[in-house]
Order: sequence, then C-alpha cells, then structure tokens
Amino acid sequence: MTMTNLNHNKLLWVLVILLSLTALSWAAPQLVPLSSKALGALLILLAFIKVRIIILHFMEAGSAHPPLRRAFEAWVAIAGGGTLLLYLYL
Amino acid sequence: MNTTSKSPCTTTDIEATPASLGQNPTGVAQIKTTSARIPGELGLWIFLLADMSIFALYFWVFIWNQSLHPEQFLQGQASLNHSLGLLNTVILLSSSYFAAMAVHGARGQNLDSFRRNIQLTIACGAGFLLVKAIEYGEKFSAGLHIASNEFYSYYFAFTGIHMVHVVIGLSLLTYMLLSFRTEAQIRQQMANIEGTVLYWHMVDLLWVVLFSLIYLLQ
Repeated sequence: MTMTNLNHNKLLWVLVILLSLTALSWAAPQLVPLSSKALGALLILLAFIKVRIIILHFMEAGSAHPPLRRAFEAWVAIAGGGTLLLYLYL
Repeated sequence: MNTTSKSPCTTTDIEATPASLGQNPTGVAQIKTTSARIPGELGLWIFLLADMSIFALYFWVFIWNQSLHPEQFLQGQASLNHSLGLLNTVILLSSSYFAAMAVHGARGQNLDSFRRNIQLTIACGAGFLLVKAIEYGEKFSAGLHIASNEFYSYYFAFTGIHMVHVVIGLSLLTYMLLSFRTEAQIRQQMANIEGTVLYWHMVDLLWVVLFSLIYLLQ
C-alpha cells in the first residue's frame, strides 16, 4: 500500500469517527440515561473532542511544530473547559 | 497571494550530554532528528487562533445568557429545525474531508484529484448555505427574527457571523479552483492552497461547537 493510500485511508477514518460522534451526540438523549445537566456536559465534551480531531488530523496540527500544536491544544482546553465550567456552574 | 512555494521547515533536536557522550564508545553524539512543518503560513495560524478565540467568547456568552433565560432558550431550541442542523453538520464535516483530500492531491501533483475535491468542497459549502437559507426562511415566515427574543438574537447573530465565514471560505476556494489549473500552478501555490483549506477546516470546527450549543444543549 502506498503512502498516498495510507493518508487517504486515514482521512476517511477521521471522517467516519467524526460522523459517528455526531450521530452519538444526536442520539445521546435517547441512548444515555443521564440527567439533563450531565447530558449537556456530555454534548459539550463530544463537541470539543470532534474539534480536537479536526485540528490534529484535518488541519495537521498533530504533525506540525510542537509550539503550534500546543497553542491549539491550549485553545481546545480553554474554550472547551471554559464552556463546560460555565455550563455546569452557572 | 504569495506566489512562492513553501518548503517544509525542519527542526533538529540534538540530544547529547557529557554523560551520554562519555558512555558512547565511538565518542559520537547521538542525534535525534524530528521532522515537523507548518502547513500554510504561520501568520494564518495566528489569525485562525485569534478568530477561534473570539468564537470561544461567543460560546461563553451563549452559555451565560442561557443560564439567565433558561425558559426562553429551551423554547427557542425546541422551535429550531434540528434535522437541518444535523444535515449541515454532516455536510460541513464531509466538506472538510474533501478539502483535506484536495491538499493531498495537490501535494502529490495530482491535478485531477485536487480539482475534483475542491469542487466537492465547494458543492458542500453551497449546500450548507442552501440549508441555512431554508432554515432562516422557516424562521422568518414564522415571524421570528433577530429581535424576537434573547435566544433568537444569539441564534441569528452567531449563525450569521459563521455564515459570513462560510461565504469567505467559499470565495477563496472558488478563486483557487478558477486560478490554479496546472500542476505547476498548484506546486507554486502550495502554501496558499494549504492556507485556504486550513481556513475552511476552522469554519467546520466552529460549526461543530455551534451546532452542539445552539441545537442540542438544553
């Protein structure tokens, strides 16, 4: 298998994972017996997991210079963590 | 736009200490080489980070106001067309895949793959706008607009600002499709191709969060 095919397969898997997480977010209220607050926290978590996957694999920050990757990982942590904390404690 | 191609940046970390050199019978320092690069241009990444940080503030403002007007937000979210929101999420995620494939096509000097995938990305972006127009049309015909209540103020403001980003991204992708028609051109414009696609991925990831906050979160 050539390197190009490997890259294409990897991108396809990334898409499949992103679509699966979207389906999980959509079906979570029916699938997961959680309180409304816990369910909301789960949805925020799933959203930022998807964001991280896009940044690392589609935007290729995962294989970029470490400071660049760290800056975007920090954004995910601050934006996602902040959103989650505000949702849980306001 | 930049007319020169960008060569990969390479970093070399030399891991050699007196102790490790002393243990090495040949006396040659062990050198660990790692190769990493910056897709597109560094300035664009800084812009993307700044834009994403502004959107992070939007997310926080939305959550803050949701806590102030819980009933209004609950009713507002219930009145949205969730299926159209889901459809737009699937469309944008797919468009990001096609955009990433276009970059791989360009790197491999595969003009057909590059152009086909850019066309698919543009088609997805246009589809997103069409679905959004249908959704806005539903709201307007029901008499709902940006001044209807707090929820709809944020709904129209945030999805509207995001839509402006989609239009900008589509314009850049269309320019690229119309301008880069030969293998030599895509080789020369690699940094611009990567930059445009990076911007498109940002549009995608911002929608992923907006979809969860505006449509799903209760």
